[in-house]
Amino acid sequence: MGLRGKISVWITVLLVLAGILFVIPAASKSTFLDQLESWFEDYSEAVDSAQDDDDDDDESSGDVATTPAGKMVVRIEDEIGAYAGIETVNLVQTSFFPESKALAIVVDLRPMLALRARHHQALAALNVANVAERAAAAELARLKTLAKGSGSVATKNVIYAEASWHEAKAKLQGLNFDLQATHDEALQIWGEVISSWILTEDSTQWHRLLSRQDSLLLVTLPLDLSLDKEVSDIRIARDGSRQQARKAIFVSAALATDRVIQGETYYFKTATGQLRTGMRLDAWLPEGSEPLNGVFIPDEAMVWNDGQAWVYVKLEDDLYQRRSLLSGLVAAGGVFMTDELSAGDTLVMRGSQMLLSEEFRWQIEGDD
Amino acid sequence: MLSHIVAFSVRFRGVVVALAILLLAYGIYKLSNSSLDIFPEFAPKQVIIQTEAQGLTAEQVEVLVTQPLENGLGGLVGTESIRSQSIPGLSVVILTFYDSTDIYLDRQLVSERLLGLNNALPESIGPPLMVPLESSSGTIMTIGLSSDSHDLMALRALVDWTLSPRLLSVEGVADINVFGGDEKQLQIQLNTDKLARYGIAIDEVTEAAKSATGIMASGHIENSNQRMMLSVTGQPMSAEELAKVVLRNTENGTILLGDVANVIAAPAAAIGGAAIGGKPGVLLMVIGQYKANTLAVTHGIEAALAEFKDGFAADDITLHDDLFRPANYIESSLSNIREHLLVGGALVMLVLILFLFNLRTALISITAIPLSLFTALIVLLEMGVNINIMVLGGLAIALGEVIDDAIIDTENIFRRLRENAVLAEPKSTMEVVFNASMEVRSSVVYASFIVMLVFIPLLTLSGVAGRMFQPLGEAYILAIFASLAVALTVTPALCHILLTRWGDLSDKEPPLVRLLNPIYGWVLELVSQFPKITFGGVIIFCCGGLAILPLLGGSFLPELREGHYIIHTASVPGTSIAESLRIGGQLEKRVSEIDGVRSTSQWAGRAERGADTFGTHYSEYEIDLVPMDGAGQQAVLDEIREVLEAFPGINSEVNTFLTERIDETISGYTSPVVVNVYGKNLAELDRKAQEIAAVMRDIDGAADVQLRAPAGEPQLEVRLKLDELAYWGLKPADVMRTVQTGFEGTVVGQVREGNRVFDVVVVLPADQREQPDDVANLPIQTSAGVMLRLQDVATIKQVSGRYMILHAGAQRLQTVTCNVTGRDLTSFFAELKQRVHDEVEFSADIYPEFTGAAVAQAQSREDLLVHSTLAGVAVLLLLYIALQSLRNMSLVLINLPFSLVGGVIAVLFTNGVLSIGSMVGFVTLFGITLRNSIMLVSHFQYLVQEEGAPWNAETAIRGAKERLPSILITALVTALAMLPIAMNSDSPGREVMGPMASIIIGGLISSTVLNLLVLPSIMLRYGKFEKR
Repeated sequence: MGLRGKISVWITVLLVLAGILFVIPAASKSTFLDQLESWFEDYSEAVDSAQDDDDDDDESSGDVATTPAGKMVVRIEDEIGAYAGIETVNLVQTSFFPESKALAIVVDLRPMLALRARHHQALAALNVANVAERAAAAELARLKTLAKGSGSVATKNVIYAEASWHEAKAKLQGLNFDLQATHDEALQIWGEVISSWILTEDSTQWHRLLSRQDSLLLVTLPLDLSLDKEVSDIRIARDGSRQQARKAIFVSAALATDRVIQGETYYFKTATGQLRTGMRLDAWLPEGSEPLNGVFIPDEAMVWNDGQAWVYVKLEDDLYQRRSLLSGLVAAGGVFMTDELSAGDTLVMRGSQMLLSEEFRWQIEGDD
Repeated sequence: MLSHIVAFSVRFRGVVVALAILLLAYGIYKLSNSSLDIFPEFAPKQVIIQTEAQGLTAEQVEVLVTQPLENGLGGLVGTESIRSQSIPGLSVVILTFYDSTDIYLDRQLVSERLLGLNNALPESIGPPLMVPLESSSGTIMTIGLSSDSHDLMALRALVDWTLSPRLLSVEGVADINVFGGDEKQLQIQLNTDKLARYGIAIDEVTEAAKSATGIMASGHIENSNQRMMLSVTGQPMSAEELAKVVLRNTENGTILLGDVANVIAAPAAAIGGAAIGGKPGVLLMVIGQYKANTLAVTHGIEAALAEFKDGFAADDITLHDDLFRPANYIESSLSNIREHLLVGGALVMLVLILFLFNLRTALISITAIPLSLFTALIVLLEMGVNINIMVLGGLAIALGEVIDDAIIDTENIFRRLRENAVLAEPKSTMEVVFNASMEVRSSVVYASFIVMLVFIPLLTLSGVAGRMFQPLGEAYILAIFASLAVALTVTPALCHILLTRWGDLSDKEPPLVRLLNPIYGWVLELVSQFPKITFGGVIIFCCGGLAILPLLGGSFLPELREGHYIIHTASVPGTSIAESLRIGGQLEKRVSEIDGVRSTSQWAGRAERGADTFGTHYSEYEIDLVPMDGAGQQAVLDEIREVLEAFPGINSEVNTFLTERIDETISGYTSPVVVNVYGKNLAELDRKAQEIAAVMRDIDGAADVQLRAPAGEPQLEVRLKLDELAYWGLKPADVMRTVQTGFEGTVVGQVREGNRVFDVVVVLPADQREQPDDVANLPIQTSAGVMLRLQDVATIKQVSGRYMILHAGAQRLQTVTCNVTGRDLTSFFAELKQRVHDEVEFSADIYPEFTGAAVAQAQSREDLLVHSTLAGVAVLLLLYIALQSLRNMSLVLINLPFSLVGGVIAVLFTNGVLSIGSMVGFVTLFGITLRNSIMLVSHFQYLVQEEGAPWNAETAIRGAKERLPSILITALVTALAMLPIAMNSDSPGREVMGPMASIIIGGLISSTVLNLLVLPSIMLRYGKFEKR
């Protein structure tokens, strides 16, 4: 290659370099170094992005945020909420009588009848003894008068009559004791109110029981429950159905506990209807006399976390907040809340677990 | 020795050709009888032991089940590692054996140990079962049953007692995993209110039920004449009969089972659920045996299903036999590969005819293809290797190369015969053929050995990559070796037979060569005039190409186009089956709206003996597509990802089935940094792991720091109050047994319905097993007959338990993982180790281990580097022997960057992702490139040494021109053979080979152009050839 050839090659190379150094930066209004640096940065970014893994997940439209009050909320766009099958209901105000469940049994009247019979026998014997004592006393008085007045009666007879009178008096006293014992027994077994029914001759209540217009129920509470003093009536049912339950009226506290359940026991009476002696029934006892106002939360809406039950409430269009049910009262099929939640709140009925999962997403084990 | 072989082949050409025909015939016979599969068995040699422990928490499973099993199984010969997972209700112990062991012997050893371990487990747990030995790709088919008129219990019974047994009898089926449906039980559902009213304990009911059911042997009577078996019948077998069993006699009358319990057929507590198209149903996953033939088993299953179809239709049961059929992928892959072989073969033939302009030479060359490939196949089949996509891939990439030796040989023999024909005194044909063969022998033999050698490191790859790509390497090496043998024997024999008869040979060069030669000579001359510009340009070209390398992403395998996707979703632990199915229903609804989705199905939880051992919070979905090309499948995948990303409360992943199986096989976490903390106390392990996580977060570059297996599963803790128990005279076991009967159920016997046997179970009704209050109110009876509730003798509290407890090497383990961004991994590791050492205190029984994918990869990289170095040294030695000059050898190596650049550009133009397949492509490319360089340089050597030409520009150009046809033909043949795969690489069966093919084509173009244009200049400037 000649000298001319070499020079032309070098001139070409120089022109290309000049183009790179001056023309391109001038066109882009930046220095060559800037240009070089930006190229380098672009390159590094391209390398970084090429090396990033294409993760499928963790980029969900939902996320966890905090409200100005510092409470955690889950943000899920409305469209996504519907898409994910979240269903809500508006809570409505309801009244609620907090109740406890207990067991009841229809009391067998035969022991009462026996007691009443013994009482009657004792009473009759007492009356006989009373008459006998009065007769013995009259006989003694007569003999004493005769002996003092005419001396026609032997002292011996007076002494006999006196002994007879003492005997009749002692017998009377003994029968009085028997009667008292029957009273005491009735009191010990049935308490004052029912004893009075048993022992009172013309007790209307006793007649209603006896004629099976009413039945007496022994209600046994669970171990850790007591009956509120204000409670005057409860509900009972044969088949465990609260809806079918009917009223039973408080009679008195029972004195003995149930051998099987060992909780507090009370007597209630109810119209007999289809009840039969010995039948075991379910009973619902109100825990207060006044109904509570609040909202009812069904079991389906609840999720358990951190030792307590929670529900999710929709705050605004796309925010969901977890609320504690710790202060709630247990009711059939759910919880009754007087605070924390109120009428008008939008309760998540379906999708609570999904929201919990979104809130605690970090607990989901990674797929790798 | 080579000369003897060639001489023998030329002399006994008839015998050689006859043997070749025999080999072809045998090859066709073997192939038609061989089994076909998708991938080689890529799973490590593992024995998995699953023990069902229904009702136990993860902690209980770990202590009561997993630990005794691990202790009993430790120390087996050949064990590489022992790992375990304890999740609620299930213990999974995974023993991994060294690849060199025999899996059947491993299983034998494990089963012998297991025999003695049955007694070590608590009563009513287990027994520990070895998961059947299944093929790596596992699922042969997924089938579903649904019905509008039958309930899930009826469907499940049909599956368990009729369909499954039939399918299990199909040859090659290892197991049937059944998901969903309701498993039928005869349940004695306790009415707690009535129990309390009558004062009857749960145990009393259990005992009464036990004495009423159960199948017992009755013995026989025998006299001098006869023996008669005793058969007691009339036991209560139905719900109505069982309800009449006497529970207690009282003065008021008799209390029957039916008075205190509802006796009905009801579903057992489920461990999983399933839905088909969002509708509840039963899913059956047919699992293939180890080394089973997927296609054959699929056909067997389909034949068995055909027997049921009419009956199902008559009974209003819908059989979904197309939810997932991996055989579809094999079939379409095979059809694609067949098409590739035909198109590739036709293109090869076209090139040969164009360049050689002689049908006979083209025929001789092309016979090398079937002969080499069939030889390789026969050897592989005899070695017991199943034909699979990787084997076919190895053969496919060898397709273009196996013909090279034959072409070089034929081309040279043809040229020499032409030259001989015009001689005044022609030599004997046999001599010409022999000499011409021997002339190119050295370059052919050395080049073939070099091509084989570069593949050796592939055979030494460890882990899944090794098991996946070894068959590919073996097939490739065998094919190349066979092609060498063919070139040494059949080609000279055929040349002698075909080229010396039937008419004279033209003494002219083929027209295309005549046309190209002057153009090439002119370009070469021009290039050699500007050596510096050429070198400068080449260096810039090479540097530019290398700079692209870091831009390329990496993946283990390319996206496979199986026409099917598997989605995983996971919610927080503790999510119920119902909620998982509800979420699944919503997801399925969205996914089925995507164009191209044919069917969807879901299972939540797990199946007994299932490969996946997940809780009820976990779901998997099968998404089957209508047949479509790779781009269409990718579009569906993108849409599925969009649906999943939008969905709240789940972590999800979507993969194809095979990618999925391979991911599952690569055990352990794939994060680059993993710190394992070993110890005994779980709480202490958690604390230390949290401290390490805190240190990790504080280090520059740490991202996505995650504490694995966190305590998050909701549990209801029933803590017994011992004082209360003592007061009431209760024993802890009494209470625990009552709780178990109430909520887990106690099996008291079995009843038969025809040949079906169902459990009789005493349990609470389902609606009383829903809320924590139900647990609190469980009736407990004292020995004195007093009725208590569970809350009277125990504190009941909802707590956070562990969903999973991991063991490695029989030790408890907690793991912290993170990614590293913006700094190098080595310095991050060093700082992490130092700071954990300084800032976290460890006691004698708690210690950390620093590991991770980065460490594992570094180890396998090191292995690969050592093996590659060894192979590299061997290649250099061979090169030296072939070229006999250190300088020329170094110059030949310049071709490597030439080819690398073309390969890299090809990757960039295809999908920009480097997979292991791409690496294989590069390795192949290097081999081919070196072969071409050797051919050129050894010809220069031949000209100088044998013909006495001086080493100057003229000789260099002459030598290059003379080698132009063979270099161009081999390069074109190889490239065109690859073209059909590369052109449509994103379609079934071509995904792994496609990137390889693109790289080989790209690299071949760059290396051939540079080899032909630049290498002669370089050799001229720096090479050294001396006459001996």
